[in-house]
Amino acid sequence: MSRVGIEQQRGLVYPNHQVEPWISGTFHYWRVNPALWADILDNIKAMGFGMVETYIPWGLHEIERGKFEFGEKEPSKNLEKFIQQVHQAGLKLVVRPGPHINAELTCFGYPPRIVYDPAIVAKEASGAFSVHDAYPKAFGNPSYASKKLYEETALWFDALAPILERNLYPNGPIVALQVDNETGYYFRTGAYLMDYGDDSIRWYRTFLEKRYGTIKVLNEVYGSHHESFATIEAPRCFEGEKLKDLPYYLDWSRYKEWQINECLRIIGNMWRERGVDGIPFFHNFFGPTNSPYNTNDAENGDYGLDVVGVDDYPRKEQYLTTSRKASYLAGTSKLPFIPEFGSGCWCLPLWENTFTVEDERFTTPLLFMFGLKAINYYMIVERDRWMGSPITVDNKIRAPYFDLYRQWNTFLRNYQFHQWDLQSDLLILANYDTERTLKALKLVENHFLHFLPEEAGYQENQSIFPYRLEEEHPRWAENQWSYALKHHLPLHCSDTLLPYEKMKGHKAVWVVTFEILDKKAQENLRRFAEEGGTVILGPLVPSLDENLHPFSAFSELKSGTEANIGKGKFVLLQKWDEKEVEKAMIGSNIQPIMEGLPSEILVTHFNKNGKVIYFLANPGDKEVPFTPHCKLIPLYGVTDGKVFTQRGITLQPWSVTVWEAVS
Amino acid sequence: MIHPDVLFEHIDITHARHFVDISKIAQPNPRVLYVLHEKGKVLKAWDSQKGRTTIGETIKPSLTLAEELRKSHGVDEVQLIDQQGFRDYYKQALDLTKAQELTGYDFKERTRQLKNTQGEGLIIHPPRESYDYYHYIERSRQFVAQKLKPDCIFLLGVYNSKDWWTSLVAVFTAGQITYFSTFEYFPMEKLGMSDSPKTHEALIQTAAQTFKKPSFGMFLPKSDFEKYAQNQWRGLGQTPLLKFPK
Repeated sequence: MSRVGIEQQRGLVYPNHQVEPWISGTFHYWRVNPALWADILDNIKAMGFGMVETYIPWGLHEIERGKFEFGEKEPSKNLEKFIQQVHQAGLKLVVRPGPHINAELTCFGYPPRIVYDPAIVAKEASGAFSVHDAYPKAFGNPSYASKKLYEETALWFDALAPILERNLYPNGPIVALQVDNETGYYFRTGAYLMDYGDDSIRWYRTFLEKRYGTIKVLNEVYGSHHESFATIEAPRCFEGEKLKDLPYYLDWSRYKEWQINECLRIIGNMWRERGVDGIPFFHNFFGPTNSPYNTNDAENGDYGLDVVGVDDYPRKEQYLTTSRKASYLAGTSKLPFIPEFGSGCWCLPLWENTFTVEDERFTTPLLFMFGLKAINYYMIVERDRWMGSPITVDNKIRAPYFDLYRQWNTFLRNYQFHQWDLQSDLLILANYDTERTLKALKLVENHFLHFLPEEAGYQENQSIFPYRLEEEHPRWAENQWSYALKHHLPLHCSDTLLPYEKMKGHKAVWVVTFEILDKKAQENLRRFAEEGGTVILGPLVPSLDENLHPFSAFSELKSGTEANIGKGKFVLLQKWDEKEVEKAMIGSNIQPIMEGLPSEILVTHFNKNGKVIYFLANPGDKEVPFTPHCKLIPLYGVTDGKVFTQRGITLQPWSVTVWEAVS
Repeated sequence: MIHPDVLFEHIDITHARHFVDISKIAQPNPRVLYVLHEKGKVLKAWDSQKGRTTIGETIKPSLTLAEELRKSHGVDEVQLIDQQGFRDYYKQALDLTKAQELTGYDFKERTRQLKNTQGEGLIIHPPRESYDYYHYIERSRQFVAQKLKPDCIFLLGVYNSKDWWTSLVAVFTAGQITYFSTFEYFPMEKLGMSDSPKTHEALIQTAAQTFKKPSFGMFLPKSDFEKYAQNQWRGLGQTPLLKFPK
């Protein structure tokens, strides 16, 4: 039975068809005096939140294997009382019960018996256990393929499920559940860092068998002579000599992508088997959007996930990455969602990226500016090992933080922001095949124990690629995003795994391409052109499919840099030249959102029932004055009357503002 | 030195950021020549400042060669990393039993020491005293052992003009830190006049009375703290340590 669902691009939807925007903040009940819970919940409501979120730590509630405490002795562990107080406060609740939660807890919320169990801990390429050299205590990283991990997790879920089940909406406040947490090799993004344990290698071989069906087909792709899938060993670094050696290495990355999703499928099903169902199941990748992480793949319906978001903890100076991430989610996900967005920062260990309220004042509205529709602020109630939240552990208000959320939530509510649609003509797709290829080309990985510059790890053999892919790809991708922002283009982002249906509605798709591009992605792009769109490629025309077999859906570009295809066309950008890019944009009828804006200003616009609102941001240290092309009425972020006159606008340093266009 | 269940509360985020910033000024950050090889066959040579570089197709790894390369490439440090040698290092360093036995800091220290004992498989020349961000650990330990008591409070207050620039409150229990905060812990009225000896005395007195333990305090201007931080892991500083009770 579905009690709560997801309304595409809007928020949560209830059986009466009421849609509620998903704007929540994190409150760790067990870290706060229970006598303060009710008052803190009142303060959360006073900031304009309608939902709160909490982890539920396995390691905290388990007192010995299979025995659990939920407040019988320690009031701070009384989960059900907390849930009921949330309900009584008129708030909704999002739960994140693990098994992995991190939560800045020693052992990341697992019971210690789990993270020191050799049958559970993953292994590195060296054969060593994957140890998280954390402070104040190092511990092992569990393998997502460990059979024993799921057996032990079942004990936790058996104990917790009845509490969750009887508090599901509408009987209780629980409206969504996160399946595991930041499942992705514990921040180890390199392909060859893990997971080489016996269980994982079994999964790897199963994956290969599913992918190829027979060993004969695999041997044809690999150019190998394996007798069976059982004899295939996993690569531990890149040792290929020619381009045709790549599929074996790319499959290892594909396996790791699948391993994450398969883990989430299993854990999600474990909840359903225990009666916890009928509410959205979601997940949060920890930050990157390339291999082994992929929102398109994880949301494709095969893994039982309704929404997959990406976490972010940026300083304001990192606005290029943050804006692109929000735009990626807007172009990709059913509900563009950041399940953890930094509201304050952890303090164990102290992190050089520590950010303050000045950062949050800029980055929070920036996310929505680029299309985000759902967010959870982590943490809105401060606690042990955290700093800079709007409410302290003893329920005092940090006024600048508190006011930020109160004002922003007021804007979102007053303008029903979740009902507005980001306008985009251009779709920028990250090339997932290229990014996966780069992961495969590592001789040695940067490791938590020994820093090596990222570039130092790539293979040098130029018979693989006659150019430096590790230099060319990031250069093109960075130029692409900077160009789009600087020229104020109306856009969305995603990656080349995006289904064709989600490409529709754009005038042009722009992908940085090299030799390799998945056959399905190539066919989608061709179809997009045939049906009237412009596909902008380059610097190379894709000529190989995902198995490195010759394939190009763009053969018309062999004889020129532009070709008409059906009702649309292909355009090839062979070298980075802004004039050529501009020509391609004009030829695709991609116009700037607003004419005459200074290039340093960021702009996006949203539409609802014919009305238009503009977001204008100044990501710099200096004031920027300009005269807009139409009359604008300030809606948010303009508190000083001096910045808005009849003749022009002056955007303050590091500000995001919202304006309504008046015709 | 830090208890596994240590509490961090009342952390002033600006003070924390300044603490991080000041610890960065003494980062080792040497210019390094990385040479990846497989039993002497060079796979890649990378200069951390210049990028890709060449050193020939094969090497015979040794300290003598590392010193020659250090001079000829004008770098501070040379790392000769054999693929198998590097894996052998990880096998030793990532010991799950040791992870369970040791504190996180001792585990890290063990992994650091093992880098310098890998023979020709992993040569780091000259060997560093520290490889990462946490190079204050050893000096901090000496400071605690020589100047503080196993059960006490330690306050650090660094001021800039009349304001507190960064601060620390550490509670020691049986030789381990069990509680961390910044001066946000104290009522605002106790924090006025950051450069005043009267304020400093009042803070250590308040801390001693609140936590019911002897209290020590180090209060110094930002410029002096910078000098102390730049000195990396040598010396325990010249600033007098205040005590309550005296």
